[in-house]
Formats: sequence, C-alpha cells, structure tokens
Amino acid sequence: MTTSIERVAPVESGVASARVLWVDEGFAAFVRDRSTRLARTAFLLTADRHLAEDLLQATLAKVADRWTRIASQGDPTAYVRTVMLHTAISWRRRRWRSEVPTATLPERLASDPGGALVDEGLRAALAQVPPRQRAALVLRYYDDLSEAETAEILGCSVGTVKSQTAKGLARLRSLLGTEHDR
Amino acid sequence: MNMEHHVNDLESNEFARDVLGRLAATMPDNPGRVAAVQRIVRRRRRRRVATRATLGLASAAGVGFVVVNGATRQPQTLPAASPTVPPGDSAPTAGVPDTVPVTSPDPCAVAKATTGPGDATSTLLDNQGRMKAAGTITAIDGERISVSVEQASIEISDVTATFAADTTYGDAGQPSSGRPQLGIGDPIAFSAVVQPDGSYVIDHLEAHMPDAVQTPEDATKPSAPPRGSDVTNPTFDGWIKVTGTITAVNGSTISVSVEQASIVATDVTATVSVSTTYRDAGQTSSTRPELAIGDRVAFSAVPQPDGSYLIDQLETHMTDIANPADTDPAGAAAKQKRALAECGSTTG
Repeated sequence: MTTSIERVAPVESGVASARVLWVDEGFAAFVRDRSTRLARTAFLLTADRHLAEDLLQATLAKVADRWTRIASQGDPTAYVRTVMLHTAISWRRRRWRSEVPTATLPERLASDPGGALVDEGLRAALAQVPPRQRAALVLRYYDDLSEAETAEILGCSVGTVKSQTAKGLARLRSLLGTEHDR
Repeated sequence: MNMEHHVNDLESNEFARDVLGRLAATMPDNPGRVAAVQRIVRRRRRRRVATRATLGLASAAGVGFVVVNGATRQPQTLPAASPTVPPGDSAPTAGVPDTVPVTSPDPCAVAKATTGPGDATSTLLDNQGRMKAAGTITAIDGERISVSVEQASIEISDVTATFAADTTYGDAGQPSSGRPQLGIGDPIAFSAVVQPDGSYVIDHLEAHMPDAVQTPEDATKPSAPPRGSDVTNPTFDGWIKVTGTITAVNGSTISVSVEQASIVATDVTATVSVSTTYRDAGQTSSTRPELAIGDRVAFSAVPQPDGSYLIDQLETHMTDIANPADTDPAGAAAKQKRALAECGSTTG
C-alpha cells in the first residue's frame, strides 16, 4: 500500500476532472472500492440520504489525515465504520432538532410500480427506531457483524447488543406492521 | 420449543436483512465522492494550518508582551545605604542629569524637590517608564549609542538607546542646541523613555560633564560650589548636598539623619572647619550658629580622602526649602507645637 502522498488524477471524471488533487493513493482506492457500501450503512444509520452522504464524507475526511497509520494496522473498514458511527452519534447530539420523526406517513398511491413509496415507508419506519437500536440492527443485519464485533464498535457488552437488537427489531416490526395494517 | 424459537430467530434475521438490504439499495451512489472528500480534507488542512498560525502569532504576541513587560521596568529608587555606612562609601551621583531618587520612595516628592526652572530633566522621575543612567559610551551607531552603565535608576548594566528628533542635549554643563560630539569612552548621562518594544529613546543627554563619573582622584578635589548657591539644592555635582535633622553634635562634627541628599545614605556625619560658611534663617552668618539635636540643617560638603566629609556651607533655620512638615503629619504636628510654644512665649 502506498503510504506516501502522490499526485494522482481525479478518479471520477466529470466532477473534478479539471482539478489536480493530492491524496494518498491507498486512501483513494479505499474510497473507490468501499464507499458505496459505507454510504449505504450511513444511510441506514441516519435514515436520510443527504445526511448519509455528508456523514460518509466527513468520516472519510477524518480518517484521511490518519490514513497511513490506519492502513498499516490492516483492513481499515472496521475503523472507518466505527468513526462513522461515532460521528453519526455526535451529529445526532448536535442536530437533535433537524430530525423530526413523524408517525403519520404520507398517503400511498394505489399503484406503486417502482416501489418508491414502499421504500420510503421503510425509511420512515427505520428513522423511528432509536439510534442505538438502529445502529445495532444495521451492524448486525446489514454489515453482518457478530454480536461481539457489534459490541466492540458500540462500546457496550454483548448482552446489550442482544437486547438492543431485539428491541430494535421488535420496534421495526411494530412500525412496519402498523404500516401494513393501514 | 427450541426449534420454534430458532425458526423465529431466523425469520427475524431474514426479516431484518431483507428490510435493511432493500432500504440500503435505495442509497444512490455518488461519483464525485472522492473529489468531495478531497476538498473536505484540503479545507480541513488549510483550516488547521491557519489555526496553528493564529495560535503561533498569538503565542508570539503573548511572549512579546511578556518580554516587553519585563523590559519595561519602572524607575525604582536606589537602595538606601545602611545607617552605618561610612561617608567615604557613599558615592556622589555625579553625572546623572537629575537626582536619582535616593531616600524618598515617593517619586513625586523627589520630582518636586528636584524640579527647577529650565531643567529639562527635572521631572523625569515618574512612573511612565523613564529611566536615567550614567556611564561610558561603548559604541556609537548612527542614531544609537551603547552605554556601559555605571549608575542608573533601574537595574541595568548595559543599555542601547536611540536619539530622537526631540532629544535635548547638554554639553559641558551648558544646554546645547545640537548633539555634542560623542566618542567611545566618553562619559555621559542621559534620561530615556522606555518604548513599548523595550527599546530606549533618549530625551535628554549630558555630555562632557566637568564632574561626571569622577575618578577617585577627582573626587578628592571637586570644584568649589558657587558661593551663595542654594545648598539645599542637591543637584550640583561634585559635592554632596544633604538636608536633614541633626541627630548628634560632637564638637565640630555633626551627624545628620538624611531627608534628602545627593548621595545614597540615610545618615551622614560631617565636620565643620574654619573655612565653613554659615547661613542662618536665610542670612549669611559669620559665626557658627547654635546647632542642637533635632535642628534641621542643609549643607554642602566635600568628600575627604579619609572618607569623611568637610562641610563647606551649612545652613540652618531654613525657611525656603521644602519642609517635610508640609507632607509629614508628625512633622506638621511638631511644627504646630513649636508655633504654639512660640506664640505662648510671646504672649507670656
């Protein structure tokens, strides 16, 4: 893995092709390869696409400065995921007024061929799951982490992970069941 | 039962994976993410550099402030000599353009006592960072001189000071409109104002002083003060001038508790001689007035080779000098008591 700062061409054309950017090549490769998956995790953690993109970029910017050290310790994905989770929690503390959960979902059309509204219902339901329960669900069932790994990232015990997961799952079921009952 | 529970768990896991996977797939990809992250990184680095630079400047400013504060030493009174100091150990303050505060800790009192008409340096003893120094020039560089300080109102051994456009000069005891010829090794005395950056700007400089920075040999044969000069004015160089209260009279020798003097001393013992002239209550007296313990006297004296002082002119019962009773409550009370006593004797 390249640890020195090298001059590389912009990896994505059309957006910054005219710019000459200076990044660690290894970091750029990591972003190219893993950012899609990380973006989806961020979306599940925040239940907001725009906020998820901001969260991911802020997380990557944080780890960019320490990339050499992070990369030297092995796969940096777990580290980046941890940073992203902590960043999301801190953002939630700071932006507690920006997210307003609502129990009333928008009315659904009779036909939804693309399933967009179904997805929106899922997103709204997920948004109503408490953050730590949501994080436990995402780490356990989307990132396929073990209970121990999830506990390490969340900074809690395995038992807490189990209870948080169970409660979150029940909450999600309840929300989606309520939705389906309508 | 266990099998049913396990099935429920699997169903729950599958349900969660299905919901989360389906929802995650709706997150669009961002082709400009790398560039965006790079912009953020660069912005963060610039901000960090700017913050460090700001902190550095603030730290430098803080250190500079401390240094300037440290360099801006206020004029301080010279330490008073011990009461038992022999007269010969009390060096005259020859050469300093004005009297360095000697025994009075009150700069206002000293300034008042040393203020004279036309004396440009007579009001220098204030608390505005002005210092006075006498010494020998060690270097001259255009508008700057370096001086090896022999005596100063602040604790300093070497000083570099700058001439200003409004610097006034004295040459050989006379006011000079221009800067005197200065050379390395010349004895000078000057007063200077401490600048915010710690440098010194000279506001008055005396050069080629007849009695400045005397050698020991010179000290034994000072030039005579003008007859009739005000011996209460301790600014004449080459002699010591003392104003104080007699604490002991032993034949021709008197000991005086110093109130004000041109030397650093709290007590001075001096001897009258046949050549001593006297003034009593402002009038010249051909005979030695009666001197008693507690009388206030002022005299000029010549240091002798053996360290004693020989009084050249002695004045007593003065009425035209600053009376400490004006500022000293105890003295005022004594004065009032004496006045009452005199009044009582007159009326009686």
